[in-house]
Amino acid sequence: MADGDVAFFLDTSTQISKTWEDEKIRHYLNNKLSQKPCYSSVYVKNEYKLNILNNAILVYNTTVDSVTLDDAESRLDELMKKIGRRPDELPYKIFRRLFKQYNSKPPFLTKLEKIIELAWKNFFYGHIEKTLFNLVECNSAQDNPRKKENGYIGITSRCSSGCEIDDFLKSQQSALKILANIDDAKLDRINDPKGTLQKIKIVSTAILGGASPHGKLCKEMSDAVISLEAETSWPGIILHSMDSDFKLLGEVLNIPTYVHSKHKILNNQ
Amino acid sequence: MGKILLKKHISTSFQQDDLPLFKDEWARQQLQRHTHELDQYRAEIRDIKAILSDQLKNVKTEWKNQISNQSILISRSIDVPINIKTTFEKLEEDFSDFSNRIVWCNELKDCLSKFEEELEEYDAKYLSWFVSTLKDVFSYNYAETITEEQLDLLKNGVETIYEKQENCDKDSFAEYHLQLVESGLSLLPNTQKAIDEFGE
Repeated sequence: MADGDVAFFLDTSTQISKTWEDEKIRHYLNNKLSQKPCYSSVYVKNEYKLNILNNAILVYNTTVDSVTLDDAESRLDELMKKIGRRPDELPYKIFRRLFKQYNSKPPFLTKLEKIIELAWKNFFYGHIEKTLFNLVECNSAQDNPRKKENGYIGITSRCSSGCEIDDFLKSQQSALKILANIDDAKLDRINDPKGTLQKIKIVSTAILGGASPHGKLCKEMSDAVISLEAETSWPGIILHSMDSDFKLLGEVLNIPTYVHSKHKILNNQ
Repeated sequence: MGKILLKKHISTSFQQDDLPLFKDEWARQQLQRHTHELDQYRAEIRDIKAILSDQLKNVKTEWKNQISNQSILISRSIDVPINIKTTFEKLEEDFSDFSNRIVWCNELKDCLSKFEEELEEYDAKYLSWFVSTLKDVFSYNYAETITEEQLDLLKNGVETIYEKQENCDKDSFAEYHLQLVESGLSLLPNTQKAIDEFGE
């Protein structure tokens, strides 16, 4: 990227939406993204991998373990309801449609195999610069999907050695202090409906107090890590997200952030 | 001394005379017990033999099936149906005619879908991925939205399945799949066409 170019840094929600969302949102989004060079990071890729692969593997294993596709679909619906997932959540929504496309298990499973073993990566790299930023040296979710008996073993979020999150956050001490001191009045139900920033505030305070940011804490403040990585990756780069949490984070940290709302896109159509 | 000896002798002889009787009874009982145990062991061995024999038969049958399936997979070469190629040629010829384009795209979807199902019998994973991906293009994208540039890319895919057949490999598929993704064609059921067909 040349100096002065303005580019987008795509977060995990954008990366998922650009491929997995329905046509209306996808077209609007890809049209916006095509106006600037798009970048992403290894940290985002690992989050994406965990989400897409583990969802696909769950669908695959449930199907293998079911007599028919109908059985598999209803078992999956039950399971998703149990863990509090909505049927319109991505990528689950798309997998439910796949059930309707096929009449028998074998070609359905072949299609999932293709997504699990290869396609997910191309969906991630599609329309972005192929070299990813890696300021955190993130190495979570490093396992490749592998089969055991008839199913796949899920990908764990476990981190391998060599991660440099602590060094990265040491270089971001002033940002951590800002996060640890977010005004509680800002963290109401309107600004922080999912409680994400409240959690980031607690984790930032813990890290400043000497707690190791590796593993669980890193994952709990992943939105903040992505925001800081975006800002540090290139001057003037704009963090692009489909998740409203990033709007408040951008305001608090003074990071250029562009957040698209799915509802607004659909209403403007 | 003689008395003593006699007594001793008598005493000894008494014991000796009595011993066979005692031994016989004890031996009889032991023999009976051991015979019974032996019968039990024999019965158990018979049962185990029967179980093992059954299991061996099953394993043999399974092996035979596996070997015969493998020989089918290995020996049967894949004939890519010619109608995929001929229909694609018709699509190219009639590409500017929207009504015919829709007809040929639908026919291609059907041909590819049928071949995709047939391929389940073969050991041709990456050929199957090529075929299912091409089918996805025609299943999820409305014919009228396909551009000439995308058509060229689809032609490459069709040519690959005829040229490489079961020799299609992961690397060539990965490269081709990324080209399709970046061409703007949707490879997932998230298009209006897919929603119209499969529902929300």
